[in-house]
Amino acid sequence: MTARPPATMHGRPPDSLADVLERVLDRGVVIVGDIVISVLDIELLTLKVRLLIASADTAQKMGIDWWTRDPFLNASAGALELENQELRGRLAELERRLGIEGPSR
Amino acid sequence: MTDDRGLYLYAVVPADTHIDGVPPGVGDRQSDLIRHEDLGLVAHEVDLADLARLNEPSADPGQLAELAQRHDRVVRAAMEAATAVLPFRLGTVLADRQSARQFLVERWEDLRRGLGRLTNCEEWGVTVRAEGSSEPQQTRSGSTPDRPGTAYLTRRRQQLDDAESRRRTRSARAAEIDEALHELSVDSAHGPKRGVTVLLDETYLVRRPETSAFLDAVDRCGARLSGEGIELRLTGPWPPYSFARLEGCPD
Repeated sequence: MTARPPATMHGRPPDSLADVLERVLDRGVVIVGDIVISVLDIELLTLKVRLLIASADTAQKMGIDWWTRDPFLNASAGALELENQELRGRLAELERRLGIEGPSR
Repeated sequence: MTDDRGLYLYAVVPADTHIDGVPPGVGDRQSDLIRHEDLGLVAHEVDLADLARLNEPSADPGQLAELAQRHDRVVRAAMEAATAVLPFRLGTVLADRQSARQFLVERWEDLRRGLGRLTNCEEWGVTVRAEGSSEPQQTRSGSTPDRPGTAYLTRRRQQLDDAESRRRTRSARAAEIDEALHELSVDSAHGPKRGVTVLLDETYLVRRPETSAFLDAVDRCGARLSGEGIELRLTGPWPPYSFARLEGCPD
């Protein structure tokens, strides 16, 4: 319907399967009552899909990778460790220059 | 069980919609229009066993993916052919054409109202997420200062302040984007993804004549974000799945 160049400066990737699933599984008019035949257990299917995309591999392929960028769940521990090492090195250098014995290890 | 048939529903559209171009749906079947007054149901018969199979624990998730994609394709094509479309939830099945007609008659008013609200509308999804970490960057230490301890603490405080101000800027940016896009839309709905790095997950209902203005605004927002470590992602146009409601029915 829209014959115009894709919006956003990054260009627009096609809507992914995850996008489609998110919309058709959880949204749209729901009818209840005798006329409806329940053949699909949507809750079960939603659960299955959630499990499916919870497996890291699949999720990243689908573009759901928030945890890889979440500092709390990811790199911060490593950064602290590095900083710690750097400080220990500096302290040792300082002690050496001042001619002080560091604590025995 | 194999003889059991039902009627698979995709959407309500105006009765004068030509749906010949709509692609085959579930089970490769072609939809037609079941009409009552000015409303039509896009639907086709379906083998219930084909659908029921998906509920089995061993069912291949790929089959569900295919069902979802076919459902979306049909609803999408109906949207392109019609002035308005009111989509049903995936897997909505009625007993037969007779009950479909009965449904149209009984819920005619609600369906008309629900469809009317969505006339000439599509929905667009916008997510805004922070790229990379908001943790302080390591600044390179030059020559060792005279008072390394004090220098370290000063630097560390600066880093934390920077990180905090970055976080605030990002939240403010997301709020600005939401406000700008909300102004150009008829309605909006929250998505499920908001979290630590997802600053905005919103769906906007946009009238077709406003599409250009809306997309221009998205472009402007995206351009303003460059260099701020924030990524804007747009999906759509979608049938108005997130705004399809009937009064008296659970959402």
